[in-house]
Amino acid sequence: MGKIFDLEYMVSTIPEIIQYLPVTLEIALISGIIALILGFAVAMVRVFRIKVLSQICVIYISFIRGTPAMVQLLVAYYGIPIFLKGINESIGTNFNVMGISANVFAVAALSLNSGAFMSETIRSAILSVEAGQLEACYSVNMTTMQAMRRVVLPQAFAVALPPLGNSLISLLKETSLIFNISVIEMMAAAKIVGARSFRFFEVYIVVALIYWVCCFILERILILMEKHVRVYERRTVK
Amino acid sequence: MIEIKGLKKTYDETPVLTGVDFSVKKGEIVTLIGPSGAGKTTLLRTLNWLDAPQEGAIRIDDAVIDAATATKKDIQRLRNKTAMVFQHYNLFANKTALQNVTESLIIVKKMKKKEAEERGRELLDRVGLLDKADVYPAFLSGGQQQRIGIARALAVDPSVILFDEPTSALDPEWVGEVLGVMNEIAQEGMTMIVVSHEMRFVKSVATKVAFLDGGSILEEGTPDQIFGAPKLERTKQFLKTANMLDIQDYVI
Repeated sequence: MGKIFDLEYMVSTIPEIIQYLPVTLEIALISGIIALILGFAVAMVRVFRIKVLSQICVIYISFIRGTPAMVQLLVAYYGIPIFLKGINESIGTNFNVMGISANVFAVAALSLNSGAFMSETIRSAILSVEAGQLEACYSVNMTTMQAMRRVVLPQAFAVALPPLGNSLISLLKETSLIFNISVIEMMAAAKIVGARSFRFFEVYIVVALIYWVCCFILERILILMEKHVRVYERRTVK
Repeated sequence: MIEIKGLKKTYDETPVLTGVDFSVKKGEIVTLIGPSGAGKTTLLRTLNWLDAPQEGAIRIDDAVIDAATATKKDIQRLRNKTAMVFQHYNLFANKTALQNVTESLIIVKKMKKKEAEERGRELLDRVGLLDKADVYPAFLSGGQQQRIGIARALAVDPSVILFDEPTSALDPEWVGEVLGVMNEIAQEGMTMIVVSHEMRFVKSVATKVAFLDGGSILEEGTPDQIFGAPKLERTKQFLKTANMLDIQDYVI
């Protein structure tokens, strides 16, 4: 047994681990975009109380919030192929179930997960915009869609941005779970590297630092965006 | 020009309007007065269809809407004829003063941006706030916000402007500047319906006063008639408690 903590070794593993960073970022980015779109759509369905769809969304949100992300990931990984096979058999289509990359399941699970949380954020942000704003739109003869697009949603966005940022940061970190469904990303790379030397602590520290740096950059971008979208608000003296 | 017939509205089980018949001629400045809960604001809001009545009909110029058969088209046609100035201004918080005014020009009237801005600046100038064109509402005083609100209403180019207690949320020193703008618009011949107990305005500008109670108009007439010699005991009683009566019951 050598040193307790081998700094030199740790540094030497960085290149091998960081080469999987693009995989992590790609999955996080695609999932983030899908989650935002999904979250927005679900929020609109619930704000406008669209029949049937609204009830389905309530169940969806409840399920996602009530089950661990890890379990959702595994359910997607094993469930989607079974589901597709079922479709193939019942209506005679010919999806190549085995040909689907694990990345797709990862993106599906992560975006469904994050989308549920984002939808609640977006919904509450829309509801937080004063009713008087919508009335003012109607009073100058704007339609509901015009009012939403021009006045309500921009204000809701300013409210939603900080919690949406939280969700995006969580999403970025949750990509560390997807090595469980055989996606080779940073976490998986670290495990492989660590297994060669049995110095797991060092490689996990490397992973932690890379995640931290990424989240820090994301945080700064979000702070800049927040400043930009809140220009119309008066700041109170603290 | 404006004709309201048999307007009825209930919120849940509570009747708010119990059958309002009312007409306004072009250029008239009408003030609605009455105790709180009388239905003044609701009546005003139905003219902009911010509240939908359950029964009755409204006609403004050639825009006709019947509560029973109101379609989206009817509502848009009605809203095209009316504009609202709100008690709490309700300026678009995410738009500058100028954008507040040009928004309906660009989005509803499909005017070109440059043209709309020109018109917007004209209107801002008219309410004396051209220098605040690029300022967001949160950075303006109440009086300034309300004047922008009036400019925004003017941009719709409506047949009638509806004012819902336009000065009651304002500090005393700002009331004057808003009343001044309202005065000017009135002089230019704009038809106005105003819910207000601001006697300075009612006495000097209003051409007609309507007293509402219990969801209907009980008495209407010129300001002199209503404040000088109200016909109904209920009207007199209200004016007395609101300190708006001209005649004195007793002399000290």
